[in-house]
Amino acid sequence: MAIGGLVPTPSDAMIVLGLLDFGDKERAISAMKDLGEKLQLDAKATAKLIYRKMGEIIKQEVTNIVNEINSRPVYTVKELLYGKKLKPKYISLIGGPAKALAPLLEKEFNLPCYVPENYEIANAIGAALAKPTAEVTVLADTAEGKLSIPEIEIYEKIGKDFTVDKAEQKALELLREMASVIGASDKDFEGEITEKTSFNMVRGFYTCGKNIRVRAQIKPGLLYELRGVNHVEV
Amino acid sequence: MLKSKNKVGLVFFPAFDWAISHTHPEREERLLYTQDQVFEEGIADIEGIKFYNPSIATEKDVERVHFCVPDVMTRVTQSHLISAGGAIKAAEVVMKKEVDKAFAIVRPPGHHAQRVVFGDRGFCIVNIEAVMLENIRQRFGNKKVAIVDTDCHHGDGTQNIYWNDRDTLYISFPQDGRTLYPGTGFIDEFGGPSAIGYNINIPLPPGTGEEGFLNVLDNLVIPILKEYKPDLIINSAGQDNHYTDPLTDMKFTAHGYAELTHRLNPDIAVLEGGYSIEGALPYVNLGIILAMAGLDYSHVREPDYDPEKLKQSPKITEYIKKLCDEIYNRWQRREDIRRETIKNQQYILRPRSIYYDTDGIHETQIQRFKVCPKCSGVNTIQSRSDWSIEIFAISIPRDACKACIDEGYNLYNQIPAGKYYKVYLQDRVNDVFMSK
Repeated sequence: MAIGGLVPTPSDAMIVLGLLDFGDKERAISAMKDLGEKLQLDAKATAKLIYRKMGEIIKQEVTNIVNEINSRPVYTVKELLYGKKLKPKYISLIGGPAKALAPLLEKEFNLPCYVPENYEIANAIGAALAKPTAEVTVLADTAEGKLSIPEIEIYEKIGKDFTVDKAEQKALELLREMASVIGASDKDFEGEITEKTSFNMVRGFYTCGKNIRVRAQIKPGLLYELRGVNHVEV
Repeated sequence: MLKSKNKVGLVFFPAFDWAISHTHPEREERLLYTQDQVFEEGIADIEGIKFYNPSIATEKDVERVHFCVPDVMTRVTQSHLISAGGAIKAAEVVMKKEVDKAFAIVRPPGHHAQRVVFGDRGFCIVNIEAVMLENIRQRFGNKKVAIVDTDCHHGDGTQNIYWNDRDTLYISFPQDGRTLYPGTGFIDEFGGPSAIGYNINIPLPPGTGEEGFLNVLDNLVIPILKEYKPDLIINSAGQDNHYTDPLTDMKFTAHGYAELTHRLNPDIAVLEGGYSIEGALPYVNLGIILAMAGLDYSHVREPDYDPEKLKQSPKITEYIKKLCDEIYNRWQRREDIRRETIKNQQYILRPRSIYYDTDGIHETQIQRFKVCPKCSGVNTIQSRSDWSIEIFAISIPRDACKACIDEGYNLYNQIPAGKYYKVYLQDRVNDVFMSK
């Protein structure tokens, strides 16, 4: 409400607490006062309550996301036994209130919080510098002698000797083409294989071919390598 | 968005990197087409269906059920522990009420694994349902449970493990053992002295179709379950009664399996056999999932489904009807049969010979059950493999009385180390396992 909104926000609370400094402070105070009346709290106490609650909610949501990533389905013994698990060691905070939230979240997560330079516009900088993304999936069935890439409507004949290595090659070639279409420069192209399986297919009691699946993507990253002012070329 | 009537947990673990050997039917891609089907039908997007990763069963979980020779870690691979752990996970989410029902689509299977384990038989080393059930009984209390085995092969391992346990009713309707591995599963295999009547086999003739299976369910299995009143129904969901299965001779269908699941209404289902990996598994698994979720499964149909071809002969219908009448009659007379069998005997011996087809081992054993008026009775197994390894195993059941516990420990202490290759004591009352 400090900058003309109709409902109180966590920003209002942080303005009241002196953690943020923009907009009309009086309006923020009156917003907190209105809310606090029902709880029999003054403006400052209400703001504090909101601030703390926000920390709890952020903690809960981040924990949920990390849990979700860590429990995503795996299909092989190797992945189940040796799969990577995410366990955050520190937090990088970006966005408008990053600095105001850092002390709160540091306590809530019990992890060090870092706020980079230009944190208010870090998201926009990231979007501007990110490489374009693309993905391709190659399916090959040597029993049927067919290769297919449904998303770009490619269907081709292949021989019995088609292998997972050839499928990989094909996927990377196509990905390079796709990359140039969406404006990535050929020089910077860097593809990576994200999934690769090859199963022997048995019909009746005989091996009749291979079922090959390869997924490739442009390796996510930055268009330009950023260097600090103190960087020295070696 | 489609919403399921029942909340269903799915543990889907195809173990794409494990097989018995390169051409074995229990192979890497056994669940590959099922995975495609499940994803393409959008099962993951149905509200109320939740996927879980397996947990990993421990050595202790296995020791509650099996006597592995010489020990658990020599006999089992990580894949077996994950398969059993997948079943445990499914049961756990049901017991914790995170979901109403759960289905563990895991491999390798387990229902041929018996109490003594010298090796792999029928593609099984660890009985995944039994390891699951004893794990949840340990954590959630001694439930009264019915295991209904819908695999085409007789679950001789599960029968053996729960032979003398009247709190675990085992019902199986396999293809007649005179025509299929493992050659057991007849009417007179009716349970040990403390559980006579609580092991029910319904050997079905080759060529049995939807009509026959659903008849058995409606006229025999469900009436027995109603009288038994289990806390939990577990379905050993083997899928090799399907008409396309390469190892069996039945005429059952994906729709039939879905209908059976709907009528049986199991709390937990665990995949067992089923080796028609393209023709059957994708459809049968889909049918079971939809039936468990309480969703419409009437459109689940194999591409080559032909109801005329899959009709069973009237002779089979007649045979099954008589068979069900006879078995139901035996079930009702179980107390009489128990009296006639036990008479005044204090111990009952059961000699058996067991073949490990996958590993080519032959085992001969004598089981000895104490007839105890207060509990299921301490029991022992003296067993010898044709590789000249002899072991002695003592088992104190979950409900054992004080006298039976003492008898078990005395027996263990009296046998000098070195008399056998290994001596085992499995004390289920105190959850203790030891060997020497």
